Amino acid sequence: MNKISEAIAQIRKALEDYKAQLVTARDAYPDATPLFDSLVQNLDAKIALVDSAFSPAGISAAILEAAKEIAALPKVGLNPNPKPSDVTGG
Amino acid sequence: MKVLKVLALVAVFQAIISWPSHAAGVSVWKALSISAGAQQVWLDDVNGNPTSKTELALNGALGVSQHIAVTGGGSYGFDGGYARSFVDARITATDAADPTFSAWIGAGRYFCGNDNNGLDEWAAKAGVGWQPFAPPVLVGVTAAYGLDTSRKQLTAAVVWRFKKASGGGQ
Repeated sequence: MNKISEAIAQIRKALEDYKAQLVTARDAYPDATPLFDSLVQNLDAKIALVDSAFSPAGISAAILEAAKEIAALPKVGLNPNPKPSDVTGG
Repeated sequence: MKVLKVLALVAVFQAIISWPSHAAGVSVWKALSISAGAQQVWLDDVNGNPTSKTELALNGALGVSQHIAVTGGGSYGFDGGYARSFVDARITATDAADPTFSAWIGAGRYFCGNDNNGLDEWAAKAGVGWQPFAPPVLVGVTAAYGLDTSRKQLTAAVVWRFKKASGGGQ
């Protein structure tokens, strides 16, 4: 799991870097403070989701759920629930 | 990591063998999402020097189940005129209160003819995706860690999803 942790750390850093840019922009444009505050709060909520989903407990639960879904696949067939991240490349 | 790699392989295998039984679920076409867009890739070259490249990308994602997708795609880099591709399996989590944002972990294989232009190996992967504006526009960040070379690759993409999968309604 160390290798997946490295990838997760990259994502976490990218989000934190983006947040730092928003804070810098907020400081540079005081008139737009409410807008940037809103963006930062929104991003904080997303970072919280990432922290939850990528926690050891979150990853274990996700893998367990995925294993169950894979096992059930031959019976239920394809049952997609497309997410924003499914088709953003890689 | 072996667990994720095995799950990725099994997910791809199960998706393939489940295609004929889609009567209980949805058809492959309905389960398929397709997007195209531009992306910026940050990668250390084989000498450890950081590089950044701009690419055009075409992606396809097969929604396998509620939390699993098998994704593949190809991209073309303007700097040097190279092409590379990938296929991976993703386990996704979404905030129930905000379905416009999701995070995933997974494993996949990259294919690239020149190591300086991208990973060419199995990789552990994690990413986030966000739908900030109108439904077809998606923003995604993907991080990959090469299992053989231990090189890191970060991709930030803006894509237009011109075909969206239809849910199975489980």
